Amino acid sequence: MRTIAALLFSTLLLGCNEADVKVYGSSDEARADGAIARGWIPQSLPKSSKAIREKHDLDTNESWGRFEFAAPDAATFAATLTRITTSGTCLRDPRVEWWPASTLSSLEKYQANDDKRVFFAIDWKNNVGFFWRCAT
Amino acid sequence: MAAAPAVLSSGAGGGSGHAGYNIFRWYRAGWGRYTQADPIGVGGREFNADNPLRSTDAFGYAEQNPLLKVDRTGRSVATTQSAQAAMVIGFGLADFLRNYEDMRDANTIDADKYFHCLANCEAARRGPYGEMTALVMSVGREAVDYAVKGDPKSAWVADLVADFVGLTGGRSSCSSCSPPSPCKQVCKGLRPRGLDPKY
Repeated sequence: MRTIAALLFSTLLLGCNEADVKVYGSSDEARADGAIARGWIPQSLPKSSKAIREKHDLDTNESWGRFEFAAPDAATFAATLTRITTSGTCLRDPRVEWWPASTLSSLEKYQANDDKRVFFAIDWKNNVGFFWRCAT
Repeated sequence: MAAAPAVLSSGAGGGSGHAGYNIFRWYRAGWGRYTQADPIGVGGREFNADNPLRSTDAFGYAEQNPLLKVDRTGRSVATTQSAQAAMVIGFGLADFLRNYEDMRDANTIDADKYFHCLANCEAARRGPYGEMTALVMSVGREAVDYAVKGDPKSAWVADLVADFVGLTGGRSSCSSCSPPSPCKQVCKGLRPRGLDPKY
């Protein structure tokens, strides 16, 4: 019984710290760090993206992010997305200060064409985007 | 000579200073030692690199380690069943910790299921206690994810499936069967694209 209790305690310890938060100055920096190749940041992020913040959970494979992009990239970026009317049932609050939990509903929502588990909310007026990836 | 009953089933051997017969030798509890040297010599024991003297003491009981080892006949040392179980559970936990560290180090999307599978497979390969460790760790872990972390059902169900792929793949079927597939082979189907080949 004590053995099983000790094992269960170990499982609690293993589950304590699986979320990772990163900040990148540019998409090139994120690419160089491997964050795009490892799948946490969507491939479809505009080339001009800057001030990228990303959080992910290693156990659920969810990721969330915020980025800013240059206005000339907007049309190219929009071509990689499909407009949707709902925010997707998979969205959970990442509980980070840069996530617009209260204003997200007012932004236009999109689904990435190259990965159906990735969604975007874009503020086209201020060229700010948010993305999230569903759990798997 | 008629066989005398073994007086020692463990290192306790009674609290008096009387000698007790242990099939091949007499053991004196007051001394905590045998009164004769080991009949098969010191070569009958495992060599203890941390304490060479302990390994070569032909009069000592169970290499002076009666909590973990037992000398049933006076001429050989065996690790006790509970110590063996503890060791296997410890190694099983180490399998989980090592794969957890690898998962964090790889930091690749969808790699969690591959490492869940590997940990379960490697622990299960260690035998029944390894399987028990894997089962408790996996089910306990997903229960924590569900009840404490509030993870989505799809995530912890998929993790449980990966756990059982590893557990069943790691379970040794029989001693005469062909050698089991390596755990990396067992878990190959769960390996995500982009994962560093070193894992």
